[in-house]
Amino acid sequence: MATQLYPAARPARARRSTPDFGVWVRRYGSRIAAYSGFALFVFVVLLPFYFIFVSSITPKTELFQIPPRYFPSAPTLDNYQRLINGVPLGIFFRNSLVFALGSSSVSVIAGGLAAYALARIKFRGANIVYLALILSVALPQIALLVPMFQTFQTFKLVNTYHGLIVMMSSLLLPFTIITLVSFVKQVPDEIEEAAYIDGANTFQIIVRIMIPLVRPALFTMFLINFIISWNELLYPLVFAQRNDTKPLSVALTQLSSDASTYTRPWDLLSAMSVLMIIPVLLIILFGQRWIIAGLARGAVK
Amino acid sequence: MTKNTFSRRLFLKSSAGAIAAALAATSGGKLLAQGIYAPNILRQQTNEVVFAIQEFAHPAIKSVLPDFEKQSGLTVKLEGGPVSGNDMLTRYSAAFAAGNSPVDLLSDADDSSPTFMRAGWMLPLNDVLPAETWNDFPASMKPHIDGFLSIEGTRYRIPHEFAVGYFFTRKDILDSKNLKSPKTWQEMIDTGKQVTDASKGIFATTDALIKPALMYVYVAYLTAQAGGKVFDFDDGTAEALQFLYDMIYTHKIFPETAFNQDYTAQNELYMADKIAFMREWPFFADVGKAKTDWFKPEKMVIELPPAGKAGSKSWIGGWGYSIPKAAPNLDGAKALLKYLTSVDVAPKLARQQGFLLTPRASILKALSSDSNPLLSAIDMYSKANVFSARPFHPRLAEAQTVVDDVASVYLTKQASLVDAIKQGKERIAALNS
Amino acid sequence: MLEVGQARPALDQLDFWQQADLIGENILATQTLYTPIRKSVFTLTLQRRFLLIAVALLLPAIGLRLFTTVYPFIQTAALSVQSYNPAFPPAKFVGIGNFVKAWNDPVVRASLGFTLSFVGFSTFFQVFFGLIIAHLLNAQFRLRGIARMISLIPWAMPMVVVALGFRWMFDDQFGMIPDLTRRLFGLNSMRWLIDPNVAQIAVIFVNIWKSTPFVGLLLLAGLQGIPSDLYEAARVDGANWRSMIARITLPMLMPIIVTTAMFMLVWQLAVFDLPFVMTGGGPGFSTTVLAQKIYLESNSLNYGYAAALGMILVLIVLVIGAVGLALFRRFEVE
Repeated sequence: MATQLYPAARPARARRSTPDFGVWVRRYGSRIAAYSGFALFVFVVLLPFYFIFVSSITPKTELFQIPPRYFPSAPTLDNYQRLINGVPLGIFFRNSLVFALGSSSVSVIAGGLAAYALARIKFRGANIVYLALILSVALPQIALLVPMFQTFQTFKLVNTYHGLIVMMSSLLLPFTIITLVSFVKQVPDEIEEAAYIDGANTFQIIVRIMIPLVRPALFTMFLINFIISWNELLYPLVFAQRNDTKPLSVALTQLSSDASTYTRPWDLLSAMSVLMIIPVLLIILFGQRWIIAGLARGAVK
Repeated sequence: MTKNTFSRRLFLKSSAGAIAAALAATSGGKLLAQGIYAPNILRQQTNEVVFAIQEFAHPAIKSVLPDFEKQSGLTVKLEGGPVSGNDMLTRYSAAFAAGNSPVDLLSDADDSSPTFMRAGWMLPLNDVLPAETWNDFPASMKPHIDGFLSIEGTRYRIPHEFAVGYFFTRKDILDSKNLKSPKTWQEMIDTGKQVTDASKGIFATTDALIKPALMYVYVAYLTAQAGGKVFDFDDGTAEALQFLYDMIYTHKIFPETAFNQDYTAQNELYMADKIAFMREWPFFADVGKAKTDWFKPEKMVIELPPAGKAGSKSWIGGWGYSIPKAAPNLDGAKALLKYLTSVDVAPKLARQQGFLLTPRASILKALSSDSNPLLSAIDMYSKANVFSARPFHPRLAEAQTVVDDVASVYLTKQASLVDAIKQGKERIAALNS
Repeated sequence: MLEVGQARPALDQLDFWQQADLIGENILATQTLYTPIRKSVFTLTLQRRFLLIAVALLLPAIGLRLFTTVYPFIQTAALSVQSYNPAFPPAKFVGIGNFVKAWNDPVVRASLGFTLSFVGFSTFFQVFFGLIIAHLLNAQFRLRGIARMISLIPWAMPMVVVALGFRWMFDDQFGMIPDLTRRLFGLNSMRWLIDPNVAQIAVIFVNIWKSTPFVGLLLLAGLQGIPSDLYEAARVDGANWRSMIARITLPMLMPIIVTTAMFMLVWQLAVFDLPFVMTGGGPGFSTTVLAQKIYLESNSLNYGYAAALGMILVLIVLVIGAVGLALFRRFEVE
């Protein structure tokens, strides 16, 4: 076997599934280049967020200076204070949470089942369904508003959690399905064949075999759909009309201060967006391991 | 044999499960008549009135609500409203078009209300409010009410805000250079050149020129002074655009960064001592005062706007209350509207919040003892006949967009003045057809 | 069905479905011996059984999708041939009148160019940088978790805040970006959002900044799906990282890249809030996208015209979708 002729390039435990940057970098002594590239990446990614974060702790009268200040002389939580006092954040937060969790769950479950069907079961209508899904994304959201409102009104779905979740899951479905189809196709057929010959039915195949193998993709789609729903603005703006269903994203656009119309208060906006991003970051941080590929790779053997 | 029973049983199980899931997902919404979480769908209750107005006005409104609730037995739900005409249209059009309204009473903008009115979605208010309320408005506001808040005599909205572009001047800066505040366009240029110091980033004047809507505001302001009709793209309009162009590029007293700035940036520049005089809405008075370590009365002296060919003019507009026809609680809405606009309550609101201040006779009388710089400004402007009507067009939002676009294209040197005016005329003609 | 005396082919020479067929027919054969009547009525062939399963699996998703798109789609198509504005009734049938109007509309013409370059450049660089980020986040290093979190922040922020934030950041007087370029590189004002061309670059840059993490996340999940033994074998054969990427990573990721790129193209065609809040359509029309025009027409209650513009977008999407589907089928990895 080949591995017996050549000594191991590095210890066996350092298994990676990507080309080994480390070896290349060491060999050419450009580690500094790699790290500075990484530093540039972090800088570019984080500078705007830094600006937003710093704005949120800057007193309102000091927000905009010429030339700009990179840190306030007297950091304060006053913006957060005024935000919490002025706006029923708790209610909006609950609404956002229900909306985002509901939409992403429904879209991933429905989408996952549909993706399995499209990817694995060769029935005659598969291509048509696939094409129809793509086509259904064609119309821009704004153009669909009025007729969709009429539909929802007929079924009494306006201003309800149900309505919002139905609408958002539907919006998320095409992309969820088509992406999950790619991931399901990555899984080799042999596993399922083996299971089928052992007497498993479709349901068991999906639950016991496909889901664990496609788990990183499923969770990734759940996370993606959650974030999209969390920040979705246009449909909740129209369909969540009262405070009892209004999510944070809509409340964000209705923040006002300074008794002025036609302007958006940057002090409150930055504070609110910092608050809005915290749950998302927590989900990413604690859901890390679900994004990592399962060791089931080895189950193929 | 076992394979057989497996297949059939599990086929049935899985399809039953899938069908159940399908039913739950799709019919869950269809069959359940109401959301558990939003009982307001069947909001037949007649004791709740939903009132949407911008959040900064909530404290003032809240202060007068307890009396109303006691008198009428209704509960008022205050909700935050959109901050611009575009947002209002986006938020409510679909609902109104479907014969539904999430609010009973709302505060509406000049660039969204005509659209709602014309589509027949708002309630006529002629009979809802007593004559005493309508007559309380000064003559200077009558053209605005008749042109913008009514259609052929039927009124659909009642103003609660009096927005006019005031000319704020840095008397301290001008005095230190022995200069007088400019009274004409020419003086603006002359005085402006003496105040401008490009190396320090100081300019004579600026305004928010970002699209949408803000560019229109300033162009319409200048056009009023030039005696033109901005939607006709006539000579007055051309003159105004030329003047603005000259201020930016020829005399360099107006920063070109204004093309992407809104009112916040404009105010911040003024308060950073980089601007000597500017046109700004009344709310700036409060903004300046709030910056306590900077504020001094001579830093925000209101003078008459520099006169163009047609004199010293500034157009007026403002938000107002109106009631959607599809409001769930029409009677409650009418009651609340009557209360808020009554000659007793309106002054109380006006005292607390500039957004709710109009020069109604009752308000002027009640606030005459307060030393409100805006009131004296209103007085000065009305005596000098500065107020001019806001330009009107049946398709107001689209017409304003045309002005925005034409001005932007010309001022950023992407088209000549002649071409820009021609394009404006063509697009307005297309609107009128 | 096997004939008597015909040798049964080796199972592993048949593909999955042929095997399934064989098994099914064996089951059916057994059944018929005992219940000849039932066969014709209740027993379905395995093929149809799977079709039913497929339908059942697809039902929730299709049901949801149909509910929210069929009626609006039909309504929009119907509206696009009328000139309908609730504020100026009545509705009139105008045939292709709206489309002719769109052809002659200076705003539509002015925005087409930027719409295409906005969508095209954004998607291209999002995939390009997305691949880099995916590799970065897939590599083993200690702060990987934090790095993943950091790299997702741009995409996780609300669009309004990002657009407004960058508007301030690019401002020549108040902004960090001109200030930093002045301090670090001595560059004078680049007139970021004032110059029509530079404004386009700025808007496209912000769009790339915002959505690349999304693409990167998907490609990361895709990378996870590539078995590491492929790289092992290649390394043993002496391949360097460049050829490993070209020969292993890219081909295996192609379906996901094509899918994602296609969706990004389609989705970004309908998005306008970034340029709209950041520059309002830019100096003149330089950062106006077609979707903004649709938004403003819709707001002015010109539902007929807005619908027609929407149908134009549908046409563009159809083209992109067809191309994407063809590519996807070609790059299908078995």
